[in-house]
Amino acid sequence: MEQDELLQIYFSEAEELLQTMEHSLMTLESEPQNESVINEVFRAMHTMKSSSAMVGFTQLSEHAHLLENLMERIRSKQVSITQNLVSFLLENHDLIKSAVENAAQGKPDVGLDAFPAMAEKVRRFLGLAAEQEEGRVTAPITTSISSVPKKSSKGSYYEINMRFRKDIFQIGQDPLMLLYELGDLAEIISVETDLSSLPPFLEMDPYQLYLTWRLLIKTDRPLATIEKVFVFVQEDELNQISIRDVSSHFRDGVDTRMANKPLGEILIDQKLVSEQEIQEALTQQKRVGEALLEKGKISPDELDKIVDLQEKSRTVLRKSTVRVDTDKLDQLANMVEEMTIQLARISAILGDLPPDVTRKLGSEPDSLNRIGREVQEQVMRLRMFPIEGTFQRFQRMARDLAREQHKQIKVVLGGGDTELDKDVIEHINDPLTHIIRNCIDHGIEAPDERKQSGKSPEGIINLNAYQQEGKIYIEISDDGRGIDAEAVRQKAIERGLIKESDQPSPEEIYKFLFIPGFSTAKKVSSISGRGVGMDVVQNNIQQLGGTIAIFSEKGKGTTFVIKLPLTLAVIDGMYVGVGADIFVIPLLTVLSTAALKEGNLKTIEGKGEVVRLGDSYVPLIHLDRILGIERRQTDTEPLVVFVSSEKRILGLGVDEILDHQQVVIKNLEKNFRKISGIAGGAIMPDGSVALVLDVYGLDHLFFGRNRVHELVH
Amino acid sequence: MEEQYITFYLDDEEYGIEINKIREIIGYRRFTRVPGVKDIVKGMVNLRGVIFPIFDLRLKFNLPPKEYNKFSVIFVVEIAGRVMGIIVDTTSDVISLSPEEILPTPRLSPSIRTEYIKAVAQQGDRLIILLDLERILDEKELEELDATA
Repeated sequence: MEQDELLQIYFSEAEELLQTMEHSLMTLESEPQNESVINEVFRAMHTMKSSSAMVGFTQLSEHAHLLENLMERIRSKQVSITQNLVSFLLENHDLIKSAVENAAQGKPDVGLDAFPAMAEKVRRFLGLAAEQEEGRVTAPITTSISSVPKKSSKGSYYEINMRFRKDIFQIGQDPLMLLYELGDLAEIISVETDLSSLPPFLEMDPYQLYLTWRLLIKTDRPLATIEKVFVFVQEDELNQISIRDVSSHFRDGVDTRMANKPLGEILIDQKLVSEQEIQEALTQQKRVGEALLEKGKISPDELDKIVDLQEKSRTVLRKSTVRVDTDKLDQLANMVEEMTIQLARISAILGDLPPDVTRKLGSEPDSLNRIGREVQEQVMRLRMFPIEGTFQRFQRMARDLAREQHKQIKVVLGGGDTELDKDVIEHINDPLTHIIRNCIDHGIEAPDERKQSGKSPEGIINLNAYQQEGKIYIEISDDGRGIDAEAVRQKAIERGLIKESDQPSPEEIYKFLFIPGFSTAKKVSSISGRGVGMDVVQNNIQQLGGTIAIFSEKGKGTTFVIKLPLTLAVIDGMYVGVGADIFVIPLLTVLSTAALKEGNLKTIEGKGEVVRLGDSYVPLIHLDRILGIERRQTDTEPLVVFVSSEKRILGLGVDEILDHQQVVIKNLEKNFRKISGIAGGAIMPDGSVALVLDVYGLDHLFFGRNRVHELVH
Repeated sequence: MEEQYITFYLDDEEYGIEINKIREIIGYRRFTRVPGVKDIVKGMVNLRGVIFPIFDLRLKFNLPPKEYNKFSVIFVVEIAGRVMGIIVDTTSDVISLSPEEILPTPRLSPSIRTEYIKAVAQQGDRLIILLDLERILDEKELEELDATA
């Protein structure tokens, strides 16, 4: 997943959250007692906090965390809502909004000086002293202010050495942004880029940072301001930033040390590396190269202009993606589908016209058809997205959280190419975030604890998506400590949900976890365990028309199974003819096909039929019989399609195999209801409907009333 | 206040449905049969990318089945958010009924199911049976359709 893509998701999400926040706050002004609105703001803050942390906007995240605390007080009625408080919250909303907008333009949120003051105010509302919560941020600044040696009008010279962690780009930070930031605060006199650790081109990982920098800047601002630029990277001990006041080396703005080592020499030094390597380095780090060229030849004003231009182009780039109502996409998809069908019909009519007319038409109808198909394909793609992007986002999150909590966690992804409706993808993110956090916070144990229980120190979180029975399944499982059903039961008793004497089943016990405000987490971490959690998760999933279930075994792990409806999914399908009807078998389930010859067929107890596949026999399901269709009376030999139903391999008896093609599955439940053995309907080229078989459902249908499998095994 | 109805025939009987319940009227088209459902569900059709079921009310009213022909018409209706089609022999026309013309459902022999009948209208010699669509195809009905359950 590209960082850009991650950010795009974040920005659209943030935009929505801010909208929700604003709207809810407005409502709160007129209905201060409305608890659901309070909860909405709380959740928005909560999500804002975690999403911002995920993309590395730490200051934003920290601020949202403070506000979340404030909302928590409001929620628990420790702070009452007044007009002033609402205005204050709106002010905070605006601040966050402008920070997000700045971030969208490529400025790091670090630059927002308003945050500390605002945070101070929030704390006042919370009744907290400043030192209590954020000593970490304020302390280094105050100490450094006292160490600022002088503030001469001529300005001071600072030498800055910057060495960042190699994977800094993946955390959403960009050293270049820091350079720009510095450029705004100070005159950058020189930038030396150390290319020595740059590997040969072919071994280079473009996502890694191989460069270190030494900067010389001149500024009349206090050292604290310069240090502030690095506040967020400095938190990470893998980043090494040193700022040294070197004013004493300068006389009349000239670096006396330069006498021995002029700037140009450094560049010449770098040319000692083969020219090809430099060339490659420059293509890889083009912007840094530009920065190098600009050095000293450009005034801060001109530099500002370029930064401005870049910001503008970034804003334009961001605006060039639009959010479209999925209803509109649906309508468009339906209309385009119908258009291609009409085009096909017209082509058929044209084909019957006399030769002189068709000659005149030439290849025009064909190209029209081709365009139609392309439009259809594009429209289709507008709606469907593989879940991979979402999954990878969690890989990142898990890694960071694991590090934070000193745990070792590996996230294993499966079924990333399962395509989901855009709508579903957008809404599945929140619940998945929560569940995965849950796995990390409460599921996976610390390495020592894991070793003691005989597990590998590295915990594993499995993220899997697949399609089955006409539904999309997303499974999240961890091999952690599992859910302590007894602790949940105790909590339920404490909350008065059940009586001391009640002994509900584990399944019933896990359901308590979906009750708002129910949490067994012992401490409030910055990640989860506040009781905003599983109830929100369940809510979100139910809104998508899905369900969620928890399975857990103490000491072994927990599995969350999310089942979502298949609103719109594209599959590769094999068209088969059975009697006069045509069905689509998902190609994914098809193993092979064969002629259904007498020699391959065996009967068990005169009833159940099995068909040979290689060395073994598998149950044979005659589609005509199970679906109640009259078989075709033809001389053609019946065929068998071997499919895998997850549980076992089945042979499906059909009359003919026609074609394979990509089809859009539409669910039949929307206007009708679920039909056993049928995953949905697909629209055929002639505009009619073909039913898509649900192999898993067929299996169930067949074995639900037939005991042949017991005889086979 | 007058209300408008669309009337149609099933054999010799004339039925009426409120016009505002009908989204669209389309010609007969090939259905895709659906396995494991009651006979009243004739199959699924596609209309501009929307797939919906077609019901034959003849079977609901215990009338003998009839071959569909070029006069067969499908009323596309929306009931409780679901799009459905009702296939009828022919449309008759659109009529306006004044409240005086609408009579309460007469008592019929117990063997005739009257819960789908909203009222009966009389216009001259014509007797029009006004249907309660919501009742005919409500969710309970749909569940009942599941022959495999």
